[in-house]
Amino acid sequence: MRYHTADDVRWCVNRASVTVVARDAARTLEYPQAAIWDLVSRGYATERVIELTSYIIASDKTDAERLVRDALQAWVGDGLIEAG
Amino acid sequence: MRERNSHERFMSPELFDASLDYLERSGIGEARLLGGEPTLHPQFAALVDSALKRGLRLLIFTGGVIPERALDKLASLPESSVRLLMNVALPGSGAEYVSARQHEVYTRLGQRVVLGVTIESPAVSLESLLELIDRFGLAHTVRLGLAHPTLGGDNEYLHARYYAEVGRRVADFAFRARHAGVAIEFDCGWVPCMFPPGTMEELGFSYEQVGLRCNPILDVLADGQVISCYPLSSHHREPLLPDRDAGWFRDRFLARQRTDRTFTLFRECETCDWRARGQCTGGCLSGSLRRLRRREPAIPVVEAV
Repeated sequence: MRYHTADDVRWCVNRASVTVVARDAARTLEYPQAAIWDLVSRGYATERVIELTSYIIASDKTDAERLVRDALQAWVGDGLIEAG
Repeated sequence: MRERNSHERFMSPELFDASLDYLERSGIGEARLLGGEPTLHPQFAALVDSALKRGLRLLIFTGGVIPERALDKLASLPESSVRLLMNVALPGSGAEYVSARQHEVYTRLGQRVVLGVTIESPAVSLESLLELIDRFGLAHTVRLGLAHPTLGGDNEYLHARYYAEVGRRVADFAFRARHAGVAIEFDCGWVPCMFPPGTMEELGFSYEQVGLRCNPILDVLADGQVISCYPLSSHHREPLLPDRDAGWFRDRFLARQRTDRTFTLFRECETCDWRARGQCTGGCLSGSLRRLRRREPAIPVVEAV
């Protein structure tokens, strides 16, 4: 499974966060969601995002998977990313 | 006055009059003529007269390649009514013929000329400006601008990675300028973090000049469209209509840019004390927007038959 950012979404990477703008509303993603966003936006498969996130947060895959799935679910719900 | 990158389209006298109407209803006392080279306009003298008749002061942005007739016109005007902001051809820029013509303009117009430099390279050398002011009796002011990137364009601009080097050179120059009694004015998009620690305070640069100056400056183009500024000219345009004043345009552009203001020129801006204190907005908006990423559009692959 892969996700990609929606067509009308723009973002930029800051020192410790990512700013995402969609439909004229901006939000700031802090660590570790910022790192997950970066991986998703690069087109990595979800399994790979989970694996890399586990390294980033220095935790096991179960924690990482929960974190990644929660983030993906929220972003899909907000229209920031789409499956496929 | 003339559409940028066009050799054909000049602003019509009717639109120029409509632009003067706009200045009057906006309570703006100065008409600023930009180009291209505004002095090349075929009706330049008449346009100057119509602005002065309304009691407006004139600020003319020029590269110095001014036709003789336009130069005669400018030389005939009182110093209090017109200023020329001369984009100086610096030594070594390879534009010696421009430089020679600029010297003729200095000789004729003296105090009416304010020297300006738009900095495109970190290797900028400002040494010659003080000598020019002294030699030709020019206005004791230097206006410094940064070449900003146009949104979606490919103009030559100063990359933000060079800002600190430019800040160091400008600070060095500013100390010498102060000693010579020459004031520094800043164009838009300068940021406090460019300058070596303490020099902003030492030189008396305000945050209104450096840090907070990235706002809609409002240009009327030769086709009657109003833009926020040249770098953002592709971002959003509004037609000049008789019921619209500068306040209306400013509000309109600021509303359109409200979300974009979230973005800043440097990654480090999010933890910057100047920004946290409201002393800096994060640099040129156009430059900031160039940091934005978006999904690359998918390119359909066509199978070979």
